Amino acid sequence: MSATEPAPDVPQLAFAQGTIELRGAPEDAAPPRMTWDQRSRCWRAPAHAYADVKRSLDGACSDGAAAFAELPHGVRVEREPRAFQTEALAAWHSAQGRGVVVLPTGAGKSHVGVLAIDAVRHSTLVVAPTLDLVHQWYELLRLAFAAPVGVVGGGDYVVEPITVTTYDSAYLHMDHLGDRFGLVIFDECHHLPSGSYALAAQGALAPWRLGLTATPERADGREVLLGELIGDVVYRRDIVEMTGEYLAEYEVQRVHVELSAAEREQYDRARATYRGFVSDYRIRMSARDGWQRFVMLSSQSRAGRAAMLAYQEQRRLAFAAPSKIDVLGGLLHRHRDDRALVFTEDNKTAYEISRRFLIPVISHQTKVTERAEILQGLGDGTFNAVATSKVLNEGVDIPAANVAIIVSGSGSVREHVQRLGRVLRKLGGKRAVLYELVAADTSEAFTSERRRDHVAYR
Amino acid sequence: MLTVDHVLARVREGKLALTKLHPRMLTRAAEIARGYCDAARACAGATRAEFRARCAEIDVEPQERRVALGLEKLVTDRCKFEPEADVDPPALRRTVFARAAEMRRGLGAEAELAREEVLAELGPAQGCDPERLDALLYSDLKDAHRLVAFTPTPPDQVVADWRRGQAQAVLLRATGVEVMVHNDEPSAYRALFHKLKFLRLMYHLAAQEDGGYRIAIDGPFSLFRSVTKYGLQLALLLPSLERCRRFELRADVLWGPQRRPVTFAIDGGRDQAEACPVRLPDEVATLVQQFERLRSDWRAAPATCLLDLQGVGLCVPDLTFVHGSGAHVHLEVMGYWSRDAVWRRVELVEAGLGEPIVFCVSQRLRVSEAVLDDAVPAALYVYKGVMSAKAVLAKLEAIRGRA
Repeated sequence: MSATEPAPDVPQLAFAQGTIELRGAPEDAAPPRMTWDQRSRCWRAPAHAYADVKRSLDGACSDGAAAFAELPHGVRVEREPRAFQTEALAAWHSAQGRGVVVLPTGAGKSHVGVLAIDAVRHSTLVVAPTLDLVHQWYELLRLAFAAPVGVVGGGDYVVEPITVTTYDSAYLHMDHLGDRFGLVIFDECHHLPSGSYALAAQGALAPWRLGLTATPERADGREVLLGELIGDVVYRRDIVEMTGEYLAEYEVQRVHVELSAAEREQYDRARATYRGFVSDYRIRMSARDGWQRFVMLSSQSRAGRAAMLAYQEQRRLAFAAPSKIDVLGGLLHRHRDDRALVFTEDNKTAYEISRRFLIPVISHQTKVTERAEILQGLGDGTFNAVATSKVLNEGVDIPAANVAIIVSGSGSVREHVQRLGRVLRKLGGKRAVLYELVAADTSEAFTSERRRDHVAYR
Repeated sequence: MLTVDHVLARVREGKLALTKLHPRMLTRAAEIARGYCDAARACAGATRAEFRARCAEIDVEPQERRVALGLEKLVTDRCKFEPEADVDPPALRRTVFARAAEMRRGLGAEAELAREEVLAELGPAQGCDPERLDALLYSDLKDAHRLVAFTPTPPDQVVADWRRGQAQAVLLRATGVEVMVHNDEPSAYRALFHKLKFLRLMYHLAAQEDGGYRIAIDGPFSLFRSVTKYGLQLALLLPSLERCRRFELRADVLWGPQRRPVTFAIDGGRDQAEACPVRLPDEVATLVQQFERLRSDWRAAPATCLLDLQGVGLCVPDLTFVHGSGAHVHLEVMGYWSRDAVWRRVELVEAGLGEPIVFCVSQRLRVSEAVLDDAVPAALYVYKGVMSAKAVLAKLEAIRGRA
């Protein structure tokens, strides 16, 4: 406000760095959800309280906070929604446009997002966990709305009425973008409750919020926060309910790979060194702080350093033993006329596989244009396999992919289900197969048991 | 800049304290830093992975490891890596992988693809032998980038930077800080508050009896939750604090993998580094000299106070004029700043800034002195070219007359 402008006689609501400020309201009457901020002598609330604050003020304020606008038009390229997508949208509408839709991977969650944007018709921010998904949403929205779509993240910063970004960029930029969107769609929204990402949701004033996920449950139990950040689960369908009708039929094959005699000796020696140290220092690795204690103690002596190197060695052998890579070679050959996705726990192994078998790799270092080319190449048959560690775990849509090979992975059930989901997109009479390579008689067998604890693997 | 992983600190009774390096360890740190600097020099033209491998060869005791990692980071920051020129690895990959897929599909059930055959077939077309083609495939990865330049730095300087970087790295995990600041130069305060504004941090200011200020600093969201989202800004503020005469900082920090709340305290400032005389900007110093020649009842001295109207704004006067009667008037030289800055000062006065003050503004900003009326204890002095001591004296007397 300049010095020459008259003082306003109604309270002014404004957006300020992920919060909303109310100035000109009496100091002694707290508006609902707002807190008096002595630093700036105004009432303040996290931006996500905007809808409630606005409702409570009942129009008795000048709203300078919301900078979001109506979209000039809705979907230009209509696609008949499936019955469950229509049901999901209706359930979300009934919850005042706030809530989480849980659908299995490959069922078509993104289309529920498109339907929501079309229904709300206000500027929208889509937040996705990886650049691959950002790219995929970008293409989907550009085609559906026949309008420019903005991208924030991966070196791009273009903001349009419909914009796609990553969780990391949303966290970084919500302080100045949080007022620009009426609807926020959180794709793979199980990521949201982590400390910093949650701030991205709290820093946006969007009155409409939609979460999409196949697996809302988290190991840390923080999924309960989704209710506050987005809304409650409003619709849910399971992978088993939809297989056949909406998802490809699939089979899972666990392949136990015997280590060679030399590898076995190396593994046993490394494991003995590591376990010996853990036992000598009475570290309980299953305890909550077990790993941290191991890291701390291993940094304090030469024996500890040797134990840490031995730990890494036995892990490397279990995850990427040459015998295992040989088995992978056989599978790639067997499926040379199919489209395979090869998953590893770490980037190093993914690159080794790429070099050894001359197949493309997608990692966090792969540029967006090359990622698109690789995925398109896998789709049209230019390539018959792609290696990756974690960046393709979620959401990426490759309908032609029908073989998933897990060379190594974590014990996370969600990761395992998401990886299976990559080959479940229905395409003609496709039948998918997931191979899980497990180094026999190693700690990986236990990891494998843990990650298979899901209805999809029973 | 160092990161949290490079910090050498201990937590005791809820307080985080940086570990002071024993003189023996300081000598060792310099030796290790020298090793990394030598590795950087020796690895000119080598890949980043080769440079890292060379650094890994330097013998480091387990208990020295964390310090060594920080030193390696600082030396690496002084290296410039670039991908190999005149090569298009994505295009090479596209060609090689597409051909490999084609050849694999053409094989029978028995024989698996031999990568050597693919590389041997494609090498000549790419103008290189199979081994070179193999090496170029991923030459754009960070680890394959070549070390093209290294800024030589004495090992002691690397160690000094490591010590300075420790506190800054802790602040990356700060949820808020409280600082006691003492200054005798308005420019140091001004730089500090400019930095605060630039970093979009919020503050609460309280004057102390000893002439210093207590400043609580965090961000808008801190009102609702202790968050580390302003940690980077708080870390970036530290150099501005170090330019103050003296500061004591106390930070609330979420530390360790469990993000446990601890406190962290440091102090410092120019007092500890060097004794500096008060420096006034040239135009202000000239004004003071001219003013003294007028032999008036006013005495000019560098201002050491901050004029803050909470929630509205703050200004940092350059001078304080004290009259023989005890009356005082501050003066802030705004020169060519901006019209916006002038309007903010006008707002500040109109909102109730109690202290008498003259704002000196260049005529080039096209602001009228009449913007501030006689009802307030403040005046705008619009000058052409250089400030006139006589005109300032007239403004001081006018304000004193209103009291």
